[in-house]
Amino acid sequence: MTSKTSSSEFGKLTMHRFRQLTWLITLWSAALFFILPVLQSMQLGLLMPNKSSHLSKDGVNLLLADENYLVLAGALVTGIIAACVVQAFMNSKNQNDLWLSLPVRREKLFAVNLTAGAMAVLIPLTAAYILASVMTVLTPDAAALFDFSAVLMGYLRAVGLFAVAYAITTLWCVLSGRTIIAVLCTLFTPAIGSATAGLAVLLVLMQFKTFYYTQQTMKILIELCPFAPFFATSIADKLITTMEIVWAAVAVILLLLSVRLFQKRSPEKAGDALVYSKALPIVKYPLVFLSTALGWVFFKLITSETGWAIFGAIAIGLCVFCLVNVLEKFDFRNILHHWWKFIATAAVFGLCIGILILDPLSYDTRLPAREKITEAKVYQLTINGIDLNPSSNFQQTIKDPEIIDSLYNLSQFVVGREEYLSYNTSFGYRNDPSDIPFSDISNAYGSKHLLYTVDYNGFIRQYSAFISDDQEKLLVAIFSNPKVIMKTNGAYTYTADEIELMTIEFSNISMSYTVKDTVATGPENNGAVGDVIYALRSGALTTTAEKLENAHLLCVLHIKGEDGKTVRVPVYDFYEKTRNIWLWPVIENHMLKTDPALIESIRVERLYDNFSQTVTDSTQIAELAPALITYMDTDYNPLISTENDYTVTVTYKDDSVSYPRLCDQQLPDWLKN
Amino acid sequence: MIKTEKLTKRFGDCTAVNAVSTEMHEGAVFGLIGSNGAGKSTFLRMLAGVLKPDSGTLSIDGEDVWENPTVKSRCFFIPDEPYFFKNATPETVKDFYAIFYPKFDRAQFDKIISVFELPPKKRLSEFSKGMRKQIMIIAAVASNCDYLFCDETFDGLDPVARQAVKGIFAAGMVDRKLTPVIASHNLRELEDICDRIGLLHKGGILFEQELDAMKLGIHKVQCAFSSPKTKADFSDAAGFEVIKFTARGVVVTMTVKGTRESVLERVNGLAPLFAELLPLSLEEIFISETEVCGYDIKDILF
Repeated sequence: MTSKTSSSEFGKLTMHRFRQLTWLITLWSAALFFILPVLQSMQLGLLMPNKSSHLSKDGVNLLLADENYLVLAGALVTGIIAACVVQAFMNSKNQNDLWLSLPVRREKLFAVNLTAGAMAVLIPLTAAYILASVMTVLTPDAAALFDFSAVLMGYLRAVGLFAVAYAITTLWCVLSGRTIIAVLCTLFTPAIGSATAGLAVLLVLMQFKTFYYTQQTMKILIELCPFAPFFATSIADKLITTMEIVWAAVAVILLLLSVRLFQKRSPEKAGDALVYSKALPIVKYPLVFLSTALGWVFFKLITSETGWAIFGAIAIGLCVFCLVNVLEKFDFRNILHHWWKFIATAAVFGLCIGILILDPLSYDTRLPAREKITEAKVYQLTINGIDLNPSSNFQQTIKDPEIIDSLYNLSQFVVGREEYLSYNTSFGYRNDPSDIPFSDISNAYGSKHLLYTVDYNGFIRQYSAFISDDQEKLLVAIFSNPKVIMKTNGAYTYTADEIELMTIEFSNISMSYTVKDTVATGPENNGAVGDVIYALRSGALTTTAEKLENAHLLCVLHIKGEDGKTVRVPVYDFYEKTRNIWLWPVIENHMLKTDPALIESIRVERLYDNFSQTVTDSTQIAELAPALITYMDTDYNPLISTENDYTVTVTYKDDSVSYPRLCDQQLPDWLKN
Repeated sequence: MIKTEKLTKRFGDCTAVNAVSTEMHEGAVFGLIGSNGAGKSTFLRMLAGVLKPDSGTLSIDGEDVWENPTVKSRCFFIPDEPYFFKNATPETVKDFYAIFYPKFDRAQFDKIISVFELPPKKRLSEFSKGMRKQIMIIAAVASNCDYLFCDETFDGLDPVARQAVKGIFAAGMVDRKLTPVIASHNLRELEDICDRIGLLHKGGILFEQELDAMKLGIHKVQCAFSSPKTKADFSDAAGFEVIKFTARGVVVTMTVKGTRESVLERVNGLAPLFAELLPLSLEEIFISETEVCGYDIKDILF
């Protein structure tokens, strides 16, 4: 047979197999049509014309690029289905008789099936992407925002995920010899199984305990799961992207391995596994264990009785065990032959439950023992969305025992109020606010939502709860220890030169103000930024516990240092001096510009004789400008006396306005009585 | 020519085909008979290249079959339960096999389809079992293969179709020296078509022989004498071997081995009142032969 004939035969056979997959192609194409062109047209506003004027770059590209999760899910599912369908002939004696009696080499047959299956998925996927992209480019407002490279990456990611699912399923088809086993094995491939089990445990912990995990563990779980990195693109981690490429490469290797194993696979093994004894436990026991755990949780939730939970665990676990055995053997009689496996599964389950309940490693009990904590990181600390995190950034490791004490007190405060958290006798505290009835929020729980994520020695715990006003005060008292804050974020030790940007975010009014180091005023002559630091430090250091307990948050100061770090400092209402001395004056100080060239006019009003004059002459402005001073100047400089009878309004050429005071010594003669 | 030497296939602990050595010549029909589980299908699947022999050799015209597309393109396997794709029709079956068999004759396929009055565009899932087998047979004939391996092919065919298929096979044998190998557990199906018969039992080939030679070398004799005879009265002559002896008074019925002439000469030598040679069915021949081998054919086939 010539190579031309051979390639022609390959092409014809591939097309024949391709046509056999018409049902899959149709379903997948229909799904893709809705996932990509239809959704994209909705996104572009083509179905709602009035929306087109609000298009953003994200709106145009995300569906095709970084957030093409539906496409990814579809690629995963169709990858598994396609592999099972095209390799199903291995599982059937009748199909083996047909295919293997044909004058075609087995590996060629295998390659034909692989190619046809891949075509059935990739051609519709490519067509849908092209259609959606062309549609986007042809949309006038969207064309300029279309990011080809991002969309291409989204497409390649879907192809990569398909390849991984396709390769793993194909390998399991060759090994297991049964479709259902191949699918189960695909889902419970060791890495996937570990990731799935890990995530399931985390979900349980998140619901029933103070949520904790190690960031490294989470990353490893994601990276080891062949499918997860493709879905985890939102995690800005180079390793995730690398793992996508690694798994795509592994997919190619697995396909080659599948061909090799298929060559070794005897046709008479149709319907039988090559490595049952090794493959099946990987599938069976994690599945049984998870089912047993879910049985426990389900019955416990319904009945709140441990006896029923034990019943549920045994019943569900046993059912799943039997089901898997039936799928494996199709013979109920063999089930009792696995009695020791029952016992082993039960023992493992009992051990896990025992560990969860008894908590010998103090994983439970809502908090690790204080003496075990040597370092901590605070990832987030917000009350009603206001960021109160004392750390300069979430990578900052806190080792100071005093600060850790404060954080630990905070953790105790959050989880220690059992009456305000939902408590489950088996699994401890639920800290999910959604678990609290809405009607109770305004009464017992208050309206303040606390979100607190802290990392103790690598174990991350997340607290989320509604707290009352009283609790908030206590929380503030615990958290706002100025010594702790000063040691933690260093905000009070900054000098003006070290600060690049300082902004004030007010908690009770919608206002954000940027402090600029433009005018040298105040006792330390460091300008407004220095003034703020000075006043804040003095206020913080004079704090007492009594004051803290009655404190309310006034504003949050955001300080970005020259080193690039950003720190956040809460400012409380009891910082009277701070508030009166610098807060408003600082703002005014920055609004005041004394350069005559910048001033359009100065309006002066005198209270006692109702005198008023608007100065627009440049000569008069030049004479009056040196007299313009801020409130801070009058408060800090004993040599300056202020003419309190005047109200001054300065209008600048850029239309801005300021309201300074007048220095008595600099007052021009024409303005004096 | 198909040649096997000590061909063996095991499935776990079970030896399905055990050291079978045989030859099947071109242009002749080889019948493979045996009970269920005797190894017929396994033997055929090895011939078709579906299964790889565990040991022994299997060659067609001197070449190995396993993973040899060149040889397999000259063979066609009709399994006991043929598999068809979902929604397949006779037309799609024709297109499918035309991909693999370079000498596939589409016109012949269409012609035979019309002779059998099978609707070419109807789904095979709506066909009866016999009709689906007919489709496979038609595809096999149209493939213009040299070797045709049929596993219980006549099972399910009505008598008319059976005769028609036998006619098609005969035409193929005349036209291009088609060599059908037909496995069946039904002796009567093979009786009028096979040139050579092999009996498989428990994976091993019990015996094989040309059907004509088999028929010429064994005879059923019915005769009557003036006085009762015993088996000992017939068993001493050369070229005359009594396989089965039944005496009812003076009437004797025997199955004997030997040429027609030698049998008649031996019987006439005892001065019978009358003597005649009766035709033997294949089934009777097998019963006799296997009894000689120490087996009870009824235990093997029926």
